[in-house]
Amino acid sequence: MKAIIVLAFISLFPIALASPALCKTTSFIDQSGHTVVIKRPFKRIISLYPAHTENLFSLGLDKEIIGVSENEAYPPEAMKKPVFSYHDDAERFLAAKPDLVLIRPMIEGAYPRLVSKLREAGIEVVSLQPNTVDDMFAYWRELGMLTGREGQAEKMIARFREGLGKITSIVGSIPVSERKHVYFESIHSKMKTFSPSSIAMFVLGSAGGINIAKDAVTVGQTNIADYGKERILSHADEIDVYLSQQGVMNHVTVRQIMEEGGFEAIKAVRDGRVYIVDEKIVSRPTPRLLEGIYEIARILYPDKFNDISALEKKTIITRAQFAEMFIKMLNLPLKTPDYRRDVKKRPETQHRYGDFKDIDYTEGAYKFIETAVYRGLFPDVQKYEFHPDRPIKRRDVAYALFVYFDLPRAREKVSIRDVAPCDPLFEQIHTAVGLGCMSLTRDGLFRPDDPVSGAEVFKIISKARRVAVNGKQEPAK
Amino acid sequence: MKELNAGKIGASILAAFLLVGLAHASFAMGEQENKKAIVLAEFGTSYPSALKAVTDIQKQVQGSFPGTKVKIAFTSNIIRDIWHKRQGDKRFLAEYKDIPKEILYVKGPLATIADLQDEGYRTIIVQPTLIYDGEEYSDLCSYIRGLNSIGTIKAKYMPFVKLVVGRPALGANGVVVHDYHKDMEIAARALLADVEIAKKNRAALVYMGHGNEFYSTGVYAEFQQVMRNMYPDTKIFIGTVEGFPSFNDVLSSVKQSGVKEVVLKPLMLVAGDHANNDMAGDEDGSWKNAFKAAGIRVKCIIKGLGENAQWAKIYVNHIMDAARDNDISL
Repeated sequence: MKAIIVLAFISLFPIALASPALCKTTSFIDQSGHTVVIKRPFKRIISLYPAHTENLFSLGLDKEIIGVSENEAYPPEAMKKPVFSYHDDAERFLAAKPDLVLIRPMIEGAYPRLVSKLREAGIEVVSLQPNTVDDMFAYWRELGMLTGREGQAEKMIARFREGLGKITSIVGSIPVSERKHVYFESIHSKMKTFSPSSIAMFVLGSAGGINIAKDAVTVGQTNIADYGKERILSHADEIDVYLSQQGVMNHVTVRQIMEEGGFEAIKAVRDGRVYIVDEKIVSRPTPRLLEGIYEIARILYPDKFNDISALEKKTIITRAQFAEMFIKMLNLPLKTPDYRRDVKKRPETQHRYGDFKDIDYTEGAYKFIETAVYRGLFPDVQKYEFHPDRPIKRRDVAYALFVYFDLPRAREKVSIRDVAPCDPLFEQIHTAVGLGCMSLTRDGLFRPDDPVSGAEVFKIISKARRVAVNGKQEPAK
Repeated sequence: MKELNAGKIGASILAAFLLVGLAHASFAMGEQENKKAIVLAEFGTSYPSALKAVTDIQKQVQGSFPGTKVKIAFTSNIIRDIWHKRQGDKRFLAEYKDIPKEILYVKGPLATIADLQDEGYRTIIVQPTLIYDGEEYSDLCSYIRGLNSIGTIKAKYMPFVKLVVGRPALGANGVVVHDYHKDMEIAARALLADVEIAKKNRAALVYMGHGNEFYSTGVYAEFQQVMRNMYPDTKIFIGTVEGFPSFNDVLSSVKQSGVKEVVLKPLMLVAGDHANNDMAGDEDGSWKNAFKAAGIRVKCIIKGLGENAQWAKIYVNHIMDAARDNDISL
């Protein structure tokens, strides 16, 4: 019995080899069948897969990461690292003196010469790619072992489970009969979905979506599965929501899906329930999968996941809270960080995702803030400071309404005593007041720099929504 | 830009292939026919709903020259590929019954010309549906020059009797028979309907042109002036995605002129990704968003010029001119 337990232990966990007092030697076998021996934590790491990079940062590493791939997007610090590619000459890697290069099995197959040259030079090359969620936790632990951050890896797993628990407890309250049936597309042009055991399908399932393509056949050792148009259409009436990932693997637009020949038979297409989610938060094995789960849950069950009741009770709404209320009330998709090459397209003087020094990019609120900023909802965005805890001013609320909604001209001109025609937000404030979205005091004052309460924000946005959609107006008070 | 480069390489390989292929053909051939054809060279679109802009022009051209064969060619490799994949897609074909077979089998300009030549069409007018004489027009002319440089030992085996190109909507550069100023006048007249929409909305009219970064795109600035002279009651602005006048140039002039509302429309043949994203997108970089940030109301019209029959007529006229200039009777 003991022997069995020991055996099981060995097969589940890395083998602890003869461990000297000072440095513990461990080893494991990577996905390419290569035995990795860790005598001491690696200190100069080049990561050639964005998920590896993200996870290394999550483990608390930074200066140890000396090179990254071309397709980095998160965290913002990853964009500042030198870029390496499989296409580079081995000499380029050697010159950077890494002690560890992290790759994926497919790369080991496609670029064997690069890998063998690096190994000949004494550099450890490790190929990792989990295909299921259980694999993912094991993979995080392996990254922990490689970098001497085993404790951090356990914390990462615990945090992930905790975050997941929060979402699944809400999903759990939705009766199974009300759960949405979803077709989740991975590659539009080839009509492919994800393998039923893939991480992406775990994301969908955790968000309370029922995968209609459970019978899909996995392509090789990947997350991708063949399906085909005919089989999608055989489920046409069942598909409540049509979901597609967008990214390097799949350049697709909602319009393309809506206009796909034959798709008018699909319920989701007829109902206009076709959505696109960023590949980076549904396919990459990182803690940000929680964001993917949350985002899909918002798509499937907006009423359950856009709860603003706590914010409505606040007497003063901060800028961060305003961003959250606005995005939740209108169920706007959350902006995800762009690839490095897209970030570069924005002028350097303009704010770029991740620039704010005064917000915490490991907490949830930043997503709402960056989404609101990228939607242009704030008038005075500085590159590095957002001031999340300052109260939102009434003038800023008027500005956000004007940018987001297509507001008609106010029927009557109103005179506002405390907003001069030279005020940069004169037009926005006059429109908001003229349409009855925001009101004046009895003395005809707008009080542009006053704060607003949660209940007021709710009222203002609700009103703007009615005015913008129907074009109906109420006379100004 | 990548697409275009790939296109260039593809084109040069094809041209080399054509040269060999054609030489053989004429060598083996006896008497050659001399039928006439028109090739409409367009960038193309993959959206069935946007195809109207393409087929409307074709219909008008075919209606104007009923006795002449009219073929469509798409210059975009990616878009041609998408259509080719649909050839065997029964579901696609069942949903979109009206899509002409020609679109499903659409080829690039070189292959289209070669096919026509093969079928005995040796007098061909190639009419691009371009806005102005820029990079794409320059490249198209280069293709045609290449084909026209073929010389056979015996004149009767020349692959083409006449292979000529029509000019873009806003005219062509150089000392040509057709004064581009006049072309601009005609183009400005064709946009009357847009001016009227702006007027009805008590708004300024703002166009988004494509432009480019390595040719002067002063043509847009000049065309803006032509429009302003023709419609003095309406404020009109033209900017480009790439080049001059930039969006910032337009925004500052719009602000200076005290305009509070704009009608925003693409000055492009098809309303594709530029119109949907750069112009009317939701992110802070879009023209719509930037106008609104400045307190300017925006009404976006996401329709390509191809859907404007008056604009399509310009290309019909340019085909007619190309025929007349080259003694081709259509």
